[in-house]
Order: sequence, then C-alpha cells, then structure tokens
Amino acid sequence: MPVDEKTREALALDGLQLPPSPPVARVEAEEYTDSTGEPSLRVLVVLDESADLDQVSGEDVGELKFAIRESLREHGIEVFPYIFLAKQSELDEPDDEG
Amino acid sequence: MYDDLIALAEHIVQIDAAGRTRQAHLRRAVSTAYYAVFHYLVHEACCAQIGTQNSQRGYRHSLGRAFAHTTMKKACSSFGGGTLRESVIKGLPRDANGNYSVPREIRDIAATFTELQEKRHLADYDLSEPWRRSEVLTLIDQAKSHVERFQRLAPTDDRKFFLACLWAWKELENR
Repeated sequence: MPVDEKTREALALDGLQLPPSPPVARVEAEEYTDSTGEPSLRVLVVLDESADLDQVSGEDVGELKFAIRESLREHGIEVFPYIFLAKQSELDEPDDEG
Repeated sequence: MYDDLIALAEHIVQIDAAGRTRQAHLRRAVSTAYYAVFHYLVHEACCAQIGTQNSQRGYRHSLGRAFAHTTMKKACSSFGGGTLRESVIKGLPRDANGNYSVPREIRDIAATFTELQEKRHLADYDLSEPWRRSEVLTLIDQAKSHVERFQRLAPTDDRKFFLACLWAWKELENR
C-alpha cells in the first residue's frame, strides 16, 4: 500500500542526510505489516549502478539506515522501517530459487 | 556463541563464491546472523543481571531461557527507532530539550536486531522474497559493526536499562 505524504516527504532524496557511500539513486516505501503483526514500513533503497558493493561496508550501510530512521522520526513517523538495498540491475534479474 | 555463529553466517555466503550463490545458502546466512545477534544480546543481558564470572555461568544460561524473540523485537524497535514511549522513560534523566537521549550504540544494535529478526522470518518462511548476495553480506557486516560498537560502550545505566528492557519490556510498556 502506498505511503502518506508525510512519509514521502521524510524519504525524499533531496532532504535525506545520506552518507556519500553508497550512492543512492532513489528511495521507495510502502506500508507493511511485519511478522509480529506490527504496522511498519518497507523501504527499498535503490543504489546507483556505480556503487561497488564489494567496497560498501556494514558501517556505511548502518549510517545510511540511521539517516532514514532519523528522518522518519523527525517527521513524527513512529513505525519501524525495514530497509532493503539493491541496484536496479539486481532487481531486474530473474528470481532464481536454485 | 556469537563469534561462531557470525563466522558461520559469513562462511555460508562464501561457499558459492565462484558462482551464483544459492538462495538456500543466503537464507541460512540471514537466519544464522540473526541468531548470532540474538545470543549476543541475551548473553550481555544475563551478564548485566547475574555477573560475568565463570562460576555464574549456570545462572546466566538458566535466565537466558526466559528471553522471548517477540518481546525483544518490540523493545528493540522502540529503542532503534528512537520512539520510546513516555511511560517507558518516565523518571529517566533528560537532556536540555527534555528528551531521553538513547546512545547511538544502543539505537544501532537495537535497530539491527529488529531488522535481522524480520529478515530472518522472510528468509526462513517466504520463498517469494529473493535474496541478493550483496545485501546479505552487508547485513552481516552491519551486524558485526554494531555489535563491536555496542561492546565498546561503557556499562552505563543506559546500557543496563536497554538490556533489562529486553526481558522486562512487556510489563514496562503497559504501565
């Protein structure tokens, strides 16, 4: 389900204080109910194709996710965001359960 | 337990390093990384409550069986999101703006635990959720980074309060 205006504003790329690495192309979000039944957000961070994922550290990713959580909190949004990262090229790959 | 489980999670992802990583391996790695952080937090909470002496090990292990995944997740999502209710932080020291400031090390490990628990659930039960090697590797690295930083945090009252909330949350949030 699409998110409300306040959430879109909190996740707008030009307002987020994101770290320089990894470079981000866009941020998408949808309402989500987690496995314990809590209302939450599912946030997809689409990384720029130039991102070298082998060089992206857990520290970098932690900073990126913290920035997203902070922006949501500052906009008065209290639901927890579950954040996923991928490049568009990875999203375009066919699913392979093998 | 934490060291062995997080090393195992990394090892599982690397099994197929030469080719396309199998989904089963990625799913097992996410699940294993979650249990690494779960056991780490339970251990730290039991040490804070009982003590760290080897002779106290039996007491720690016995208490450790009382921790509930859902309760821990609820506590961690509030600490991690920086959205602690007034009823929880009533009486705690405040900053100049009247806010109870949760140390960054606590916010980070709490958010990582919450995220890992949800992703473990997806990895173990939802086959429609595809996993990418890069995401799993950075998730494991994120867990390691946040555990290391939490480990360096001095045994302050904030740290002890967070660890106690991992088992006391259900009662505390409803007061």
